[in-house]
Amino acid sequence: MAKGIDKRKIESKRKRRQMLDPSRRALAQAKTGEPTRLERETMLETLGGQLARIDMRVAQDVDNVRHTRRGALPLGFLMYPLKGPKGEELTDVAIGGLGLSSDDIEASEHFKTLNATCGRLNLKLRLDHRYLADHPELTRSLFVVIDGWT
Amino acid sequence: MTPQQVLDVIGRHELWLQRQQGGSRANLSGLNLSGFQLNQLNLQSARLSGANLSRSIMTGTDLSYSDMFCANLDSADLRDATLMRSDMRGARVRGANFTGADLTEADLRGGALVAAIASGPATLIRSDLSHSAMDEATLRSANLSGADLSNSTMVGANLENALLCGALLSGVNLAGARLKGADLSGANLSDASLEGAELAGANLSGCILGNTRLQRADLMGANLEALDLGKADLTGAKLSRSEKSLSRPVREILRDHQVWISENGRRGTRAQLVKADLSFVDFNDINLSGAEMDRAILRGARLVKSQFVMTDLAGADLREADLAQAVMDGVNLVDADLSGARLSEAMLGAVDIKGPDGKKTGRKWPANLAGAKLVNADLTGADLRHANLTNADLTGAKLGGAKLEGANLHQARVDQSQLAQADK
Repeated sequence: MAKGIDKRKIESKRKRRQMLDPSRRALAQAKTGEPTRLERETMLETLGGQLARIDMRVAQDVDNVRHTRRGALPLGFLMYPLKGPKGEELTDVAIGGLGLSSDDIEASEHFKTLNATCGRLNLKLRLDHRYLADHPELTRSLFVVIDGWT
Repeated sequence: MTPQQVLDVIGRHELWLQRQQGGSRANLSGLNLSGFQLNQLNLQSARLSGANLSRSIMTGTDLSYSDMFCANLDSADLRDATLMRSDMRGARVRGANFTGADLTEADLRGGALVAAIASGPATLIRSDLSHSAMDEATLRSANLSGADLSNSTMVGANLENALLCGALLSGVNLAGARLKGADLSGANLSDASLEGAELAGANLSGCILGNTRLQRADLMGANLEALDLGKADLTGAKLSRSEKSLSRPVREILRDHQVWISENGRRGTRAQLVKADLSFVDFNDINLSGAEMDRAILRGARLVKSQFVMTDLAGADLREADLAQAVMDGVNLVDADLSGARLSEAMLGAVDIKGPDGKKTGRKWPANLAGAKLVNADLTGADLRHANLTNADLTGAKLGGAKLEGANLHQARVDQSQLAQADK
């Protein structure tokens, strides 16, 4: 009997923790069925953080890969894989499951800011779904692609 | 998308290209079109980025200006296809057949996969064209920087002015390929075959060579900086290195030596180029008289009308060097390898020894070719009077009109028929 009470307490504590943590809450709700507004917001918030980080580093990254330095291998593009709240590879299925599309991400403030930064640097920015693994049917992931230099 | 829907998209695309009503640009990005029959179609400017076109058949299809960014074209049949100015950055094209295809100005650069969250190093994404057939394909001005072309066959391909910086070309067959003005800097050419390839004016600086076959290749005017030519087979290759391709210390030594010559030793410094690698240099008319150059590598060097009076070239590698009309009186060529060298009308006579007063003493300092290897060398009309040729190997050497008066041929390998042609 004592063991039964303990289990209930532990379960109750776990649920409380989930409700306090937005990413855990979103994941917990995702298991139950319909995506909620909160889940979508959590995802957009997670992606927003990543877009903000790309915004901070893009100028340096581009400088590193274009043929400006002797001996550097001239590359034609930069690809930043986007990740989910748990750091998992973000597939188009996962995004669609939350009722989100590329348009929603492109309409976010962080994406617009990154687009403005790329514009100032004469670069092109786009969201792209890419197959990169050997079995493309299984992994169609979401990437930010930056290019535009010759 | 069903095959019929794909055909509808292509149909509307053709209308779009003809600017007819109801047409729209094909967007087949990200679709799985593996194994589709898409031959002899007009897919100019079509959007195919990220599409899976592996094993598809696109013979004779026009894909110019198309977007095939990161597309999968593994084992695709693209024979005689037109891919002019297509965007194939990061594409995967392993084992594809591009025989006779036109990839003029196509962009096949790689990219970098950068983790936005972690601050680790970027992962290189190379356009992968390994094991592909690209014989007779046109890749003029194409950008293949960093691309993986290993073990591909590109016999007779046209790669004029193409960018191949840092490309993986190991095991590639580029026999007879046209690479004039191409930039191959930093490319890996180990086990590659470039037999008879045209590489005039190409940039080969920093290329990785190893068992690289460059027989009969035309490398005139090519940038050969930081290139270990010892790791390549250059038999019959046309090759010359300008003074600019030499290291700065060697260039300074040569400059100081010219001053030493012109100032009669009052200024400048006598060149010390012991074991220096000067292979394939173009030094016509240079004056290296009196220089210390024993065991120097001068293989294939162009030294026409140059001066090597009293120069120490003992043990030097002068195979296939062009020393026609060179002035080499009193030179030390003991144990030097002059196989296949051109020494026609070269002066290899003796120098008059002068006393402290500058007057001739009547004694002579002969050219010393003892033990030198002169197999198949061209000594037509050369002046070898009083030269020491003991133990020299003159097998197959041309001696027509050569002056051998007073020369010491003790134990030299030379047959009577050769000597009969000489001018005694």
